[in-house]
Amino acid sequence: MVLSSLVLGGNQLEIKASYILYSQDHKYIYACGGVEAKVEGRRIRADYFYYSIRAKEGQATGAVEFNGKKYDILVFKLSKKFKWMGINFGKKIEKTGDRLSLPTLKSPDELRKAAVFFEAHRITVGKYGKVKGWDVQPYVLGAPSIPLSSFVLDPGSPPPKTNLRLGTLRFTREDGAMVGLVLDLKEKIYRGRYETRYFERELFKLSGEPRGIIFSGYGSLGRKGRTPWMENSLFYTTEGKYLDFSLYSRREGKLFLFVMQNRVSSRQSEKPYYWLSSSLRFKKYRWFQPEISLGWDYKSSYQVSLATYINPHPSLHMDLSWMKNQQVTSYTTTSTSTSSFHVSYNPSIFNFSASALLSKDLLEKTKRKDISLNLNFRPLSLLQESLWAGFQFFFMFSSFPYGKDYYEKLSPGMRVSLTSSGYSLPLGLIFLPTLDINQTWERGKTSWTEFNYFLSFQKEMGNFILALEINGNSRYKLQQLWVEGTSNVFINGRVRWRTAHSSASAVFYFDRSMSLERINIRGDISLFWELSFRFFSLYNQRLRKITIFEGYIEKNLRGAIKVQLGYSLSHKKYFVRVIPL
Amino acid sequence: MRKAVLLALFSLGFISCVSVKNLPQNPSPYISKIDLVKGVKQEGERIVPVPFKGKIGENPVIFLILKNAEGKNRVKFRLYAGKTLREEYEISFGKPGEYYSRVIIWQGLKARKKGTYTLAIFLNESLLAIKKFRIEGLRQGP
Repeated sequence: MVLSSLVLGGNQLEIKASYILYSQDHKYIYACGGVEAKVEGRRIRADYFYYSIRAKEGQATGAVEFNGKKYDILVFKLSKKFKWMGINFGKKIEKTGDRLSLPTLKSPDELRKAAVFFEAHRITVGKYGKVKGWDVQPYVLGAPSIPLSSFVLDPGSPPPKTNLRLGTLRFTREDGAMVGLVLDLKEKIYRGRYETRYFERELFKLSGEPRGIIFSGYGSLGRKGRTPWMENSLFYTTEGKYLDFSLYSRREGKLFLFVMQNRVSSRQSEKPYYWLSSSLRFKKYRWFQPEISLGWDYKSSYQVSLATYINPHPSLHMDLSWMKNQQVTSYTTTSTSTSSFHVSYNPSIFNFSASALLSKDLLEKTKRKDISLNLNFRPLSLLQESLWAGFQFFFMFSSFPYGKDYYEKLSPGMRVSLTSSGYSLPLGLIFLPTLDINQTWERGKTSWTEFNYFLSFQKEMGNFILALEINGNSRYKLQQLWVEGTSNVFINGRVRWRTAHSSASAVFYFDRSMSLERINIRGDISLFWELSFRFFSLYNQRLRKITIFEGYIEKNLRGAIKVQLGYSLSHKKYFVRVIPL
Repeated sequence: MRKAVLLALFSLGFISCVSVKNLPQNPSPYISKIDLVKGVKQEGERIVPVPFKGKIGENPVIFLILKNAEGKNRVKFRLYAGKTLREEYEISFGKPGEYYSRVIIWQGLKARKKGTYTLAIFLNESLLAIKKFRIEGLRQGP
């Protein structure tokens, strides 16, 4: 897989045996039959050998020879320093060497469940996880493939030095076939990752640009471990000739924090967009930090702002700002001046926040005001933490131009919510109620009251959970002499089945007259070879047919792509999807 | 999809261009399943382990499935309480020249006292596996 690796490390581990099994999914080696292993230059002989590349730890068992001594078990770990522990089972259990815990071993049967695994006579593991095998017998979905005299079973991770390697390799309906080349820069003063991807659609008769190139990446200039002098990100695609490039620099001293950003963006048939912005914050005091920031598009648009952050106490935060903004485009010009204030206070039992915003349109000579207050109490636990009560009070005021006048809206309100962690009922039933009440008043208008409740009765039977759910919502408006409103109740039946690796559920929806309306069934079933079967369907009782169905078998390959093979009733088609992760 | 799989297999063959005469064959027996259970029961022709409900109780039974065995074999169990050898058990199976793809072995263990135990399983004097377990205490009588 590796096109070029500028630096490759030496072998960390070499194993020769009558039989070696390597599973790429588990990154695990099992060997047996006259095993001769060389672990960082140290020789180990044993009947059985287990090694996890991820954990960098292994175990040799059965007539183990190491350092001229014999053991029943040898456990080792490749950390900064090679650690080992030998165990003998005689009259007593005798341990020698370092104190290590026994690793969890994987059996050959477990490793053979992987979609792809290899058998070999000799295997080497490189410093960066590259695994190479000799006399290799590959297996794909349990079936033997063509034997190979030698083969790179796993390319491993890229070395920690500048390297050029194969990147994206995928096929999707949106992009077609895509292949990428990655340049990983790991130099003393410059680090970054840039990828050039080529996509081909026409060959696969897909719509869109027939083919093209995407160039993307990021990098930073500066010494490793220190704040970089400059960082950049770049994205360019030949499709629509879209370019987005930004430069970012952040310098921080004892007194000031300075940030500068430059962004260039352009698209075919549109004028390029430039924006240069910088800010300077005085940070001598932790509780008071004023900041000035400027933005400019190299032409007529600009933005100036003055702000200060005031934190006199860890739970009290305030910010005060003023901003003048002028945006000039080909079609419109706007000029505004905005002042705002925000305060939040968060002691342990409640949090309070208030904000006020005043915005002036300097061309139209109009004003907009927004004021809001919010008091939110932390949920109170009642009845030995089986019931939680939450209270919230709010007040909102806004005023904005409406024709020649101003429209004003003033609406105080409150919200009470009750949530339960469940009550046990006879016959092993669990009752889970939730209640939500919202009350809103509007000045000069009517007030609204909303009741929302959710009642769930559950019964657990082995791997099954049966539930009856009642969901109700009512909205009432108080008139002078009467109450006007609407009320709805929805009833669902739910069946859930769950094991350690699989789950499925069916939801039965009923209408007001308790007649079945529709059934929604979905599931995720774990199969052999780490395949999973997923499905989703909707049955409509009125039409007496399945209106939606999609089911597919999914396989996750090396954590890089997901392959789905299935059928969709909506499209009336079988499909193969390759989804990059 | 089929074309892609054929192409991939063809490519693999093209890359190798070398015939491998000596393919790896698994020569050694291995444990496919190992468990401490309450007992073993027979269901028709099948031998089924009876698991503990919750923690491992006193005098458990070691239940293991051995695969890929050949000829006459001797399985030895050494039970250690803490670090000291307490019990030793031995089971022989097989005939010379016969191949056994799957062998079910179980052995009752004398472990009543509260504590940590280690069971070392040897096949023909070569250590095959170890199993650590803990007994929480004596069963309370009515």
